[in-house]
Amino acid sequence: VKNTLPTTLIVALSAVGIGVSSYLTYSYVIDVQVVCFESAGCDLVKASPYAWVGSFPVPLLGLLAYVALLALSVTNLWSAPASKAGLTLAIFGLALVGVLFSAYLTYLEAFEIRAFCYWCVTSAAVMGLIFVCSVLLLRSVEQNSHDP
Amino acid sequence: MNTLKQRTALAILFAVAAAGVLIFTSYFSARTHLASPPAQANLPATAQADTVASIPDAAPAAPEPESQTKTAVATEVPLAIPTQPAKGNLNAPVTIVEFADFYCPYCARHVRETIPLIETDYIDTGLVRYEFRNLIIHGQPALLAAVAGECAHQQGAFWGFHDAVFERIFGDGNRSDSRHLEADDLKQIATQLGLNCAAFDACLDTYEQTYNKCHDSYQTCGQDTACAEQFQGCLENDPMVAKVFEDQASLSTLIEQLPEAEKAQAQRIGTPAFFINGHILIGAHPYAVFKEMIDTQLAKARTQR
Repeated sequence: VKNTLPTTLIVALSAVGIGVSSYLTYSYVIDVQVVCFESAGCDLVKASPYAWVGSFPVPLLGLLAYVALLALSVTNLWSAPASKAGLTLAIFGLALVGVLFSAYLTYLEAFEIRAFCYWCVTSAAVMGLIFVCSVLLLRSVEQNSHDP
Repeated sequence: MNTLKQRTALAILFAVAAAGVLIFTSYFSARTHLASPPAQANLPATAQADTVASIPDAAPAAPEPESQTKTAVATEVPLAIPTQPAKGNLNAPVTIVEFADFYCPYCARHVRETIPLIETDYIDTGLVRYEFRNLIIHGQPALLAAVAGECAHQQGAFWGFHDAVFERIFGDGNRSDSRHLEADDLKQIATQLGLNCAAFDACLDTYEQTYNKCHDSYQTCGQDTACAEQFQGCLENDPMVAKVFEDQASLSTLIEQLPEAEKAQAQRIGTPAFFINGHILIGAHPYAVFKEMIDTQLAKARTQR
C-alpha cells in the first residue's frame, strides 16, 4: 500500500509525458517543414541536427519511454508483492535513463542550440518528477523488505 | 535487502550505460548530419515543389584543418555586397545580412518590430550596415514580390517598397490578413510611393512575360526535377530573377564561411535568417538578441583596431 502513491503519480506523469511526446513526435514526423522560423523555440530545436537520433525523432524515444513507464507502473499497481521489487527496479532504471538523456537534451538546448522548446522542457520536467517518484517507490520497497 | 541494494546498483549501472549509449548515438548522429550536404536534402518533397527556387546546395563540411582556417578568417571575409539593397554605412564595423521572403509572417514581424529599433540605435549611428537578400520560400507569389523589390531597387526605392509590400500582405500582423499580391497590386504600391511607373511596370511586365513563356514550356516537359531545373534556368533569363537567384546563391557561401560550431544551425535554414559579421541567427528573434550580438561584434571590432 505504501508504494501506491508514487506508482499512481508515475502513471499520471507517464500519461502527461505520452501526451507531450506524442504531440512533439507528430510535429516532427508530419509537420516536418520548418521554413519560416518563429523566434527561438521548438522550430529552432526541431531544425537542429540533434533533433533526430539516426532516423528516430528524439520525441519518439521519449514516447516509447513514457509508454514503457506507464505499462510498468500500471502493472506494478496490480502486481503481486513478490514481483514488485523487479518492476520497481525496472521503473527506476528506465526513469534514470530518461532523466539523464533529458538532462543532456536540455544542455543541448541551453548551450548548443541556444533555444528552448517549452514542450521539450515540459517533457524533461515530467521525466524528472517520474525519477523522483521512482526513487520514493524504490525506498518504500526497500522499507517493505525490512518489515517483518 | 542486500540483494535489493545490489540489484539497485546494477540497475543504476545499466541505466547510466544505456543513457551513455543514447547520448553517444545522438552526438554521433548530429556530427554525421553536420557532415552531410544540407538544404535541399532536408526539404520535404512538398516544400520543394512549392519552392520556385530552392536553396542552393552547400558543400559538405570541409576537413578539420581547412575548416579551422575558414573559421579563423570568417569575420574578415567582407559580407557586404555594395549593390544590394542596404541601409547604413558600407564601411560600418558590423554588417547584418538578412535573408527574407515577402510572404514569411515572421519576416513581417521582424520588419514591424525589430528593424526600426536596430535602425535607430545602430544604423543611424553608423555602426551597422543592414543588407537585404531574397530567399524564396513561398513559391511564385514570393518570387513576384521579390522581383518587384528588385525593380524598386533599380530606382533606389527598395526600402519604402519593402515596407509597403509587407504591410499590404500582412496588415496588422495577423496571419489571417495575409493575401497574395498580383502584379497590379505591386504596380499600385509603386505608384503610391511615387516611383517611375513606366520603368517599374516595364520591369515587372518583362518578368511576367518571361514567367509565362517559361511556364508554358514547363507544363509540357514532364514536371520532374530536371524539368524544374529547366524552368528555373528559363526564369533566370529575366535579369531581376537572376538577381534574386544570385541572392540565394550567396547563402551557401555565407554558410560555408560560418564558424564550425554554428554550421549546425544552418542545416535547415529558413526565413528570416541573419548573418551578423559572419555569425548566423535564424528566426525573428527579439531586439535584445540582435542587440547582444551586435554589441559583441562592435566590441570585437574595437579591440581589433
